[in-house]
Amino acid sequence: MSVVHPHRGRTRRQRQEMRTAYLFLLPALLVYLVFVFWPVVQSIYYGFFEWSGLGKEMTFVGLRNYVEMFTTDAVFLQSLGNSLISTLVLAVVPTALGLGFAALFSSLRGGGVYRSVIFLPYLVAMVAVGTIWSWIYNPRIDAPGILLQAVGLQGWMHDWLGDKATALAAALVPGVWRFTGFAIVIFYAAIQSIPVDLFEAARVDGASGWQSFWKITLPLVRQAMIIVVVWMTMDALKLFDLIFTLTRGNPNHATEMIATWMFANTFRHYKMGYGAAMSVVLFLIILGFSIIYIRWATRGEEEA
Amino acid sequence: MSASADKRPRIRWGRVRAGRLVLELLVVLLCLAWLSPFYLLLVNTFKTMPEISASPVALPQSLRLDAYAKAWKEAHLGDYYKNSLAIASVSVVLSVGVSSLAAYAFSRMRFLGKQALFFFLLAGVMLPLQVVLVPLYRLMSGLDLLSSYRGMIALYVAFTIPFGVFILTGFFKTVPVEIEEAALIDGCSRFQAYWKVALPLAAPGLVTMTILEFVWFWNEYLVALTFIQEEAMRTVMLGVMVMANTFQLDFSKLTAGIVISVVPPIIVYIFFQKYLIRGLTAGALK
Repeated sequence: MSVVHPHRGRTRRQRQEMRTAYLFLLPALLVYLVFVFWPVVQSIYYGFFEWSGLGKEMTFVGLRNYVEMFTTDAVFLQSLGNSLISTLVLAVVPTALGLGFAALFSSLRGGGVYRSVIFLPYLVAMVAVGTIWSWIYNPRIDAPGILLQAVGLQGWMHDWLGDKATALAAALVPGVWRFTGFAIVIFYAAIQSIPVDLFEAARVDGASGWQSFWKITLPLVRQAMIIVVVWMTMDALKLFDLIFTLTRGNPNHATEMIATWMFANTFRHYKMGYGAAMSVVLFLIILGFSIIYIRWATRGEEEA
Repeated sequence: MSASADKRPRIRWGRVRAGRLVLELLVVLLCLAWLSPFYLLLVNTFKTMPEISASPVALPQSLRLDAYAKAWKEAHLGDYYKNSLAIASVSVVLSVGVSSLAAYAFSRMRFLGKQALFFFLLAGVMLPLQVVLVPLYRLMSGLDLLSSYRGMIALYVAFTIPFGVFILTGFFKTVPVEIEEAALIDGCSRFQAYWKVALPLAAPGLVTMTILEFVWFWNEYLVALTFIQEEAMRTVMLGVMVMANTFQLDFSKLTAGIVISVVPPIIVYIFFQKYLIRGLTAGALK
């Protein structure tokens, strides 16, 4: 490429590069606009309508869907509470277990094998996890009961999923089992990337295992912890597959989540406008959590 | 973080050798407990219903495999396998292709609105699928794409573009640009530089995305549930849901069916462990 007029040639090349760049971006942007961005806009719009989804008839109702959700729809309020409790549990417990296991395993020979064992459930689809556990809890199998009997605690045997008081906790156990698999992979890799010398120097200086964990491991896996908590939070807020296969929100909505109640309203009760409004609320909740997390992640960087 | 990270033990818990042995024993017990649901799942595929009723935890009397054959046939898992494989593999190729094109532009070229466009795409990572279900259901039925490979593939590609572009842009940035620049000076077009130089150099990143997305698509449920209504078009995960109902009185068939459904991700993990782990950790390293 000969450049006769340096200045003009350069701008032309820049313009050409821009054109090429947009061509490279075109397929991704096109698909994203049609199947992601535009539907989001439409959902926000539908949220202001009463619409069965079957016909063309849509009635503008303003904010009524949102008002109804937070005032008269007791199931929605319950599902909101359940979703928030589940998010708290599924963001905290797998993170703590994953970090603890990773710190433990990375000190053992063959730690990678143990990590793979804990990781295994994460490979299994949530639908399959839900189906496996619904079968484990099935009163005709009742694996927890067999375990309790074996240790002499027959008195504790219980229909964990069938009882309103215990259903949510019981439904979250498989979630913890699966999510911990994700957490341990991230933490194990993060700990492996910490130079061994740091730990050895601490040991020479007489630091105990606990001290090394609190003073070296924990501060240096902070980045990984943010990622794990963010992912777990997002997945937990959207929790659908597990509940849909395990309890369908039963008994009496004790395990109902925003995502399952939204799905039921949209595709079972044919309240598409209402379902769309509910999905917008779910999106706003996720957005809220995202903002909190971004602040958490960036505040630490300023301090450091 | 390199894959060849130093594998020497980190914290040494306890100073006494015996104490460490006890610790190791406890870890083995923990792992066995963690695997116990898989034990229950596997062991009951070989049993008859009376055997299961007698004891779900006991070992089977014989290694009978007919539950697998029955589940495969009666739940039409063969057809569903074909559907899942077709949808997942085409989606992966298109998604990685389209994402890598965009990622190449973001990592190599200068253009107006680059940052804004990047964040616009990235915002999709946190978007819950639920938000787009209702409008997409309308769109897909309007385009007659319900219960079709094309419809499912289009949706899967669209939903993975944000994550794919984000991760692949990171990968391209780690590939040195000098060879490409040389190729461009030698008269290669941008597309040739991307296709013949950048893509092969970013191959580990592409394999990572391929593996990760394949497992996602294989395990995906909500989109399949919403947009596939014809029985013949069901994916394996929808099949699992169906089996949970039709086989609820025959536990050996149900468990065998579940085992069959989780085989592909396990195989992928066995053969591509390094890539899968790298893909999952890719976000955490940035």
